[in-house]
Amino acid sequence: MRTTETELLVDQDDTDQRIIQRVLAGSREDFTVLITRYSDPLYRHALCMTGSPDVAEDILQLSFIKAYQHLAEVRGRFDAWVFRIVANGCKDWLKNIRRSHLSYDEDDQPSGYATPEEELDRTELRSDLDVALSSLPASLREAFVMKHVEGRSYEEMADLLGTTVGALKMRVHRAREALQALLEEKYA
Amino acid sequence: MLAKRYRPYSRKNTPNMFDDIHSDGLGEGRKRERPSHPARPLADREVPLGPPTTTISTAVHAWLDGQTPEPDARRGDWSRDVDFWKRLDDDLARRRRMQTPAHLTAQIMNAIPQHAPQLITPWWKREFVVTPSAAIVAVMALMAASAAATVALLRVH
Repeated sequence: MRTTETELLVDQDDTDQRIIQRVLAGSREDFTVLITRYSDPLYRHALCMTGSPDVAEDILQLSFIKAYQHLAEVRGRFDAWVFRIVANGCKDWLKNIRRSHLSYDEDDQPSGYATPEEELDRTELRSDLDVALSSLPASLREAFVMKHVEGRSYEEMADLLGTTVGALKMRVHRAREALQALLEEKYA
Repeated sequence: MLAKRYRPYSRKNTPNMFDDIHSDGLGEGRKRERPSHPARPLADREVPLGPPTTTISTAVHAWLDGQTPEPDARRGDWSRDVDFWKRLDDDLARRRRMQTPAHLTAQIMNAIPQHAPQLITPWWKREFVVTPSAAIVAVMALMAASAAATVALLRVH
């Protein structure tokens, strides 16, 4: 009997390693579980790094295809492994294409702001933050996004990026100071 | 006679430098101001030193890292910075809620190969199986090559 997508989603206790073994044994559909489980944080990372929803989707798609093709080579945690693929994809994209102005499309989140003025202010802040983020060097932007958007601990960041907690704290601090310098005149 | 070697400064008379941490007026609650624009235009081949920065107090960094409560970060003149980051966090919170577009999973599944992933082993790590016939052919080829090389050498001499 073919497993439905709903059943795959419900089984949260299934470990990544067991799912990988099933995919390697020929159950291609089980790869959906891994995509569903990890795509949100990876999409947020790609979106904040590139500033473009279309590019973020492309990077995510290429990364999961690459992950599928090399699934037999996974050693250790799948989420850390696939994160590194996405992070490298973002860095490669940033190396190749430099954009001076980037903006996000409107998301589907309901607005919590009462007045049109507040809504306008919110859109302006979003746009200004996008520009400020895009002006940061890739390593600072990456550290800031991982800390403040993905909500990761310094230890987890160090584990994923293969660097030290001290170096990452320094990057996050420098990113904050650069962002504040760029935005405080208008928003402080 | 060997010349007596002296240290540039003996331990007794090494002049101490007095470094007053407050000499630049950066005491509690005061920020180092940096000009937002360079004082002079950049010359040819001069590289700018990255984005401008300001100084955020250790207390505010600690609060942003979740290590200290907000009132601690507001001590001194840092309330303005705390308010700034709280305002910025409204937008960051929106980014934290963003989700992958619904169509993307199906799109990825359509794009991945139909066959199961296979371990791609580089040729130097692959296992070689030597059959008796292959071994005989290899030995004969080696002998022929060495014979040809010997004949060529004899002709040269």
